[in-house]
Formats: sequence, C-alpha cells, structure tokens
Amino acid sequence: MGMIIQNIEGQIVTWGLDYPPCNEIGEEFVEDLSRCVDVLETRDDLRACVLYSRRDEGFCAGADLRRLYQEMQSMDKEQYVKKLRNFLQKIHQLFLRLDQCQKPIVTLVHGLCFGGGFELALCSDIIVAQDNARFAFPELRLGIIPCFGGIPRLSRDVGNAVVRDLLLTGRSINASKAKEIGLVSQVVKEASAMRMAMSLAKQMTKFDPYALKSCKAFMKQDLTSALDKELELAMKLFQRDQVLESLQKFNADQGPLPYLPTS
Amino acid sequence: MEYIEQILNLASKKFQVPVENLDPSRDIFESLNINSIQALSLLSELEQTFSVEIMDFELQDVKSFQDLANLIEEKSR
Repeated sequence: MGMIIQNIEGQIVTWGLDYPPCNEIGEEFVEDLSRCVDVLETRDDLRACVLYSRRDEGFCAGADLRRLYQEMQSMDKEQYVKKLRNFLQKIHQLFLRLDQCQKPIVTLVHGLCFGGGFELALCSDIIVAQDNARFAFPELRLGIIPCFGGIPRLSRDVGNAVVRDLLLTGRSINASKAKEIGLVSQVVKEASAMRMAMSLAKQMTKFDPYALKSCKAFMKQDLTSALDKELELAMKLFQRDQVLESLQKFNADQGPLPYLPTS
Repeated sequence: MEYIEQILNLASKKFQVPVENLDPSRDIFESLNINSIQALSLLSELEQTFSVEIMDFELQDVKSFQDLANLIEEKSR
C-alpha cells in the first residue's frame, strides 16, 4: 500500500511518490498517478508539476517484479499473458499522458532510478538529479527489455550508442555521467534539490501557456510506432520460460544483491 | 593516503561503522551490513571521490574492500 502526496504551491503541483520499498510500479501506483494527471490536466490554475520520491531508497526501482511473479504463478499462461498486456497498455497510456502533457513536468531523481522508474522519469520534460542518483535499464538481466516506452524515449533524448551501452550491459550510470550525456539538466546536492526543481518549474510558468505547450509538442516527436513495437517485443520476450525463472530468482533473493548484476 | 585507507574511511563515515571494525580483506556487504541499494549509493560516492567510472558488473568479482581498492587503483592509472 502506498500513496502519492500531492501538494500545491502557487501554480505548481508536486507529486511525492511513497510506495514502499522503492516506489515499485504496480496497478495501484498506475491508478493513483492517473488521478494525479487528471488533476494537472483539468485545473487551469496549475501550470507545472514536480514529480519526486519520498522514499529514502530512491526515485523508483521499476516495475513491481515480486507482484508480477506472484501473479504469474497464480495463473495459467494464457490468463497471465492477457493480464500482462492489459497492464502494459495501461502504463503506456499513462506514460503517454505524462509525456504529452500540455503542462511541463520536472522530475527530481535521487538514488535508484531503474527500469520502469527510469522510464517514468523519461516522460518528463526536465530531469534534475541528486548527486547520488543512478540510472539503469537492467531488464536484460531478467531476459526482457524495458516495456513502458523507455527505449524510444531514451533514444529521443540521447545518442543511440549510449542507449545500446545502457541496454546491452544493463549497467547503471551516476548523475554526473547522466548530465554528461545530456540526460539530466542539473546535478544537485540533496539540500538544494527540491529548490532547484521548483525553480525550474516556476520559470516555465512565466511563459504563455499556449506557446509553451506548442513548443513542448513540437519538441516531443510522435513515438507511436516505436512504442507499439517495443510493447510487442516485450510481450514476446515475457512469454519465455527463462523470464519466469529469472523472476523466480529475483523474488527469492532476500539478500543484499537484487539490484546488482550477479554472475 | 592509500586507496584502501580512503575507501575504508569513506565507508565508515557513510554507514556509521567504526573504521577500526573494517577489515580490508573481509566481505564488504557483511562488514557494512548493507543491501544493494546502499551499495549503489557507495558506488556513486566512490566514483565521485576518485573520479573514475565503475561499471556495476565490474563489482561481480569484488568481495572485499581490498578488491575494491585494487579495482579503483587500476582505473585511476
């Protein structure tokens, strides 16, 4: 059980993610965030958003893999595949709303920003990273690929060589490296992180909303075809037995290493 | 200061473990009682301190603090 703490400061709404242990993305998360997006989209007094995490561990560790595994176990393959597709489609719809939101979104990342969490951050317009932030697409470790739209969105933002490096090695990069490759706008210390994110959001509220939303729409190309292809490839990979075995291992690992690559 | 000394001091300060309790030859996770999320945080700090880039999969062969010091020293050359 978790929640999103929504606060309004002037024309800016902040969304503080608080799903123990590290904001893993499951159905509850998706429904709650969808409601937040409803508020941002429909209230004219709100002109920008800052998304951040209230969990010490980090921004978001990705999809709720333990829940996913439990569900896979409790259903036959046909039921599971149908449910997974339905879930992925809901996430794609939500992330598309975030990505294409007419109002700018600043995401403040600290600690772990892995997998689906990284994909979530990529939906925003500006990423501010605390100096302890780490970004990764570790999905290949489980025999799958990012399936929330991360590959097309990362490819939009950084060079293909960087995307290949991150995807094919599954390695994480620190905040400085993320800034070097153009992924994050600012790297900040914890003490000034929220101030920086709010400052960026506030700056964007100074501009004519129509001009801003037009500019944003122009800058964010239509990724429909690539997003659909990613989803289909993810579905294909998910149906292999190796994935169930990998998820079983991840689920069983109560030790210190689940987020580090192991041989 | 030698790499190992700097690493032990950093880890001690970060995880509030007395430096005299940290044996260079002992397993890092056991010594510090940390999980992988905390280990990644340590990794970030080590990268900043030593101005190196450490790939997480390079840590597969790193068990002890001395192993870590050797890796960082190699990258710093």
